[in-house]
Amino acid sequence: MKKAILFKRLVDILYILHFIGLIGIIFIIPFGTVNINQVNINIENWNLFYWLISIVSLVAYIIFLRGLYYLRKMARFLLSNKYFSDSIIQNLKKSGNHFLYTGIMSFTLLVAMWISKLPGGKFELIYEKNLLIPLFLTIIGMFFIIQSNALNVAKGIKEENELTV
Amino acid sequence: MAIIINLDVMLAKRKMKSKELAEIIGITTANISILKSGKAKAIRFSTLESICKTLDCQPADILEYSETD
Repeated sequence: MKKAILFKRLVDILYILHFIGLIGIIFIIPFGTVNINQVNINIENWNLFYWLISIVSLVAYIIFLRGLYYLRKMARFLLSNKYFSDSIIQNLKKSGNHFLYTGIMSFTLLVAMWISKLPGGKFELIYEKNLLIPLFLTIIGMFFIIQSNALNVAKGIKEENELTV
Repeated sequence: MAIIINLDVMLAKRKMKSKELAEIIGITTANISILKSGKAKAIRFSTLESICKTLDCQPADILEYSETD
């Protein structure tokens, strides 16, 4: 129970911090210099490609935030100890789907940025956290989906066991 | 479900109440109710044995197969 409470608090903190971050991004983009994936270009010099990248990044971030919202919702139901309830299963699945989409979108963006540098004669292969985060998000998203399916199967078995006389 | 439970019929024939049966075979009245209402997904052989022993009947007297769902 203590772990569930701690989990809920941590998810709450992460959600609030990310929400503040999103508001920050929305207010900072029109005024300041924003770095997108190692490209230090002032916002006035952005071409259509960079605008597209930043918009898709923002959409991916909003999807991630929505995934975090469903995780928060799931954590709330977790406190009631009803592990096999539909609310937990559905919210976990939704959260997993959102994280998976974010991971795929972020990875696509990284690939797009990498390809965009090729015509300029640059060939970069950098091992850094930017590459690992989308991969981790994809794995976590898939794990949540699998976990929700496992819970669904367990729910059926539990019901069957309860209705065995 | 295609399997029909005729426990209430047998109980009526033996002039026995559900509560009485539950006490003899050692299961809760809630479980007897699940069995009678047809909500049960499965029945243990041990439970079936106890019911048959108490009501002096065969499993076929309690369970019936019907093709119509």
